[in-house]
Amino acid sequence: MSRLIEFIGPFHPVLVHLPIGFILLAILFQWLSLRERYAGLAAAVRLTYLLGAISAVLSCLTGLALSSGGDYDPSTLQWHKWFGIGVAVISLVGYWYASKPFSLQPRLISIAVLVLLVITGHLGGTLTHGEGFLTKALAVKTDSGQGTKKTIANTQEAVVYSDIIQPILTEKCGGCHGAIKQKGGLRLDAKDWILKGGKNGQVFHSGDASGSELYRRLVLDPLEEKHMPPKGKPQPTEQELNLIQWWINSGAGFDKKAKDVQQTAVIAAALQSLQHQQQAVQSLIPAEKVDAADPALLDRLRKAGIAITPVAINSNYLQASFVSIPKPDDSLIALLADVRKQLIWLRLPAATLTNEGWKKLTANTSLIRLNIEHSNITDALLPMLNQLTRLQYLNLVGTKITSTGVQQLKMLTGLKEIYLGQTMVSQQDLVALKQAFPKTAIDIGGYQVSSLATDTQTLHPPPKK
Amino acid sequence: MSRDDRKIIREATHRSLEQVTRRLFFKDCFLGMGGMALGSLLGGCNWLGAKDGTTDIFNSANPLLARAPHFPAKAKSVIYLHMAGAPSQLELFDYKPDLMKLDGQDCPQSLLQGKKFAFIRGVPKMMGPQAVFKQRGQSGAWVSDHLPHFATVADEVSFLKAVQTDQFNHGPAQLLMHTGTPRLGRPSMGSWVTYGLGTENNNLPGFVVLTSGGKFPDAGKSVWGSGFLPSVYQGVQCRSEGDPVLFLKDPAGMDRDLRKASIDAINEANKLSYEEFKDPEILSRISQYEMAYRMQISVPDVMNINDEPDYIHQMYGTQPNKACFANNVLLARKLVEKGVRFVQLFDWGWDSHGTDENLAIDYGFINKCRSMDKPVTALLLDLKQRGLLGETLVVWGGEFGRTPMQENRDGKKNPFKGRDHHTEAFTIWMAGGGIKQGTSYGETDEIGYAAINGKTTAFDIQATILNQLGFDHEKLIYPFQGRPFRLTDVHGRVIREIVS
Repeated sequence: MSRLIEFIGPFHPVLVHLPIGFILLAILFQWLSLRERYAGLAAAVRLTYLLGAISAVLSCLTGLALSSGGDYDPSTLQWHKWFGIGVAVISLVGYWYASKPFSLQPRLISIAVLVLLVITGHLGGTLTHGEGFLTKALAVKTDSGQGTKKTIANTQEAVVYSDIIQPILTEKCGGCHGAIKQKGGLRLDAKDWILKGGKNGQVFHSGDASGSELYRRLVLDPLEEKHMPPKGKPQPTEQELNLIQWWINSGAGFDKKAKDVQQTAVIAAALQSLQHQQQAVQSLIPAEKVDAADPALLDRLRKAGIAITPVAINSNYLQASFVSIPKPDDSLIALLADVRKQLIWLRLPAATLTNEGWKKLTANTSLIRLNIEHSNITDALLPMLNQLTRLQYLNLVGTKITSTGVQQLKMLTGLKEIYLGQTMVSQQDLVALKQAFPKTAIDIGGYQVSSLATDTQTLHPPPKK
Repeated sequence: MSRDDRKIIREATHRSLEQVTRRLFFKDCFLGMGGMALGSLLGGCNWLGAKDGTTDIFNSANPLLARAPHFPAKAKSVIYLHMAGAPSQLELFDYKPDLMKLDGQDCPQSLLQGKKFAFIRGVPKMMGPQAVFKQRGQSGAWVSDHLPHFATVADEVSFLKAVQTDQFNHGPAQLLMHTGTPRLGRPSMGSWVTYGLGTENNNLPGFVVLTSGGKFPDAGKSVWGSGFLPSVYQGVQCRSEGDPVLFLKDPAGMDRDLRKASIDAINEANKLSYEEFKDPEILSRISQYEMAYRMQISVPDVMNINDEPDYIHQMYGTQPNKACFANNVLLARKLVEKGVRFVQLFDWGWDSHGTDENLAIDYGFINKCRSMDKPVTALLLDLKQRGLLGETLVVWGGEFGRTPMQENRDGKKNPFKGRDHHTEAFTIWMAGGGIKQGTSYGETDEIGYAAINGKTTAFDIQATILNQLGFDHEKLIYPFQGRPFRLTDVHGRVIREIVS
């Protein structure tokens, strides 16, 4: 049965055009037959309607089969489905009326079926070709987020134009000045087009950003009519504007790499952040996919007082927090074993575990963030944490560990932050620790806010004489 | 049984019989079936935004259950420090030496034409910065001598120097800042966040409010209200002096077991009426009772700052057994440490008009700065040394700014130096929670009157806060009165320039 459904589904896009044609034709015949010249057509209406209704029913069936395959926007699909069924039903009614005189009722029906047909057809188009497929050529491509920009591993090695500037132009200008549409005769999707300019002349003058329309329009007052991108469209960020200005002013042209172009501090920072941002987003959660954890198991963890949720609605990775539990012990840690693959962020304050319990905890090797502040972990137990090779954040605040203990965490090469406040680690240990963990931000706390006399003094105006 | 009792019972019987009359049954069926048919035809209640399952995430059986945000987030909680009354940006962060040159001169007509001020009438005098400014830290951020402690941590924060609003009265401006509209009735930011994320700690509310300065914010409790969101998401106001939550203690003669028994009985009755009416608000009420019972133990514990070590008290400059801002800031840290999502602090007294000593830019304002400087600095450092600054977003700001002109209330000279409410530019800063360190975004003109670039609004700040918590502010919605609502309504842009 399911194979049959799979087989007939793909016929839907073929079949749907039949009812559209037949029913339109039937309606056309109906209305034309009002004129004496075409009165003869009335005889054909019934048959045409029948063909239309039959093909509409078949379209509905194949459509239902196709929709079971998924992958469609559910709300549009829902509308399309019901309108489609409406077309089939009303065209059957139309068929039934077709043998009767073309009075008010059949006229209304013909209008209703026409309206339904148009809507269904359009929704169907939207499902296959995407939102706004009809007007695509007219509209500016909307901001599709960071996804369109390529990841740049090292911005200094990147080619300024093709790796940094072109993605900005494509994202922010491409909708109107790209392959599909060239407003003002301007295309900004390749070197040659940019050099050629638009119908008002050149837009790019190497070495002179403020003299280049390409840049000048971007920084015009947004209220000016000539400001680009037009009001209401996604605007380039300040950083992107700076980069475009730098690209033109520096005369970097189309082939130079970033490192070969002179950079101010602002630009260097912008380039750095470009690279930084992308890395940061990536490392928040692992790139590889993971299976979803058993919902029943999650329920059990929740019943035990653990706040456990996916890190995001469309992710199977999990975060867990034990803040509701005053002193978590071994029994609760054992429950985590079954979510070992999914659990990446764990907040486990004040844990009082046995050696066995710590061993169980460190079996959660997917962990990226681990907060075990004020727990009973000791130097002797710390080497177990070396199993957590993915760890980026480790919070050991308020534990009994010492610098010697921390030195054992050699395997944690990906560690970015480690917090050692209120432990036995002292200021003197910091140098050695920094040597041992050159890539890690080490925080040993102990911050103080000095006390100033003015902190507690209240100012008053001099008494009046 | 008295006559009155009998009357009440008769009324109750009558009402419950009404529920089961034939006429009512038909009426309900007719409307109900029609509605259901239409509803399913339209694809159920979710047709408005079902695309990514982000519509109504309200789970009435357990409305505060921890939930996942839209995307993985850096910030887990927010501490919003609202300086109610609106502190002067011109004496704290927005250094304008050129304004000094105009000090005492008449305000040019061009700045007054077509503008409305809350109290300034006629032609006021310009007033230069009433503070000494220096550049601080690696970032070179301008911070005045009014904040000697904060100056040492200026590298931790991102300043937004061109925030704008369109409300020049405290109440509406505060509502706009926290609920996304200057009018009453919308849910506050903290409510949206608890609606989206639930609570991490089952024994504590997800959204806690602490006030200081001797006065409530002008907009009243609506700035932490839940609006049309289920009422379980509203902010729970706690006090830093006496009982943290009013009526939390068991009354005299009632022990905890008896309390438990009475709450069980009430919940049992509520469950019955839920079964009869299926109103989700009843479930909210049941879970509220249960939470209140748990809070009786956990809240006094977390709200007690006396067991903090001395060095922490010194660091924050707390004043034991008094209601004050410093105590509230320390509490905020404790709450966040315990998994509270959103802690909202309101500190009244920043409304420096110059009408009296306390509201004078050169007296009361400086005293306010002194009471705020140390605890806020301590908060940033304390969160940092606990490894929590990275996942706690701290926001500091008022509801609007103050004028570069000296206020002349009703055209007359005020007894003290002061500035009027100003909507066109003010400064807000954010720190932690995935915000860049040591940056500044937005600029004002040379006298600090108007924002000239990098303008931001309350909506942008809300969008950014939600973004740091993992929400697309355009998708965190709640269906109400036939349309999906969101905190930022139709506005808002995530201020990517300050997001790291």
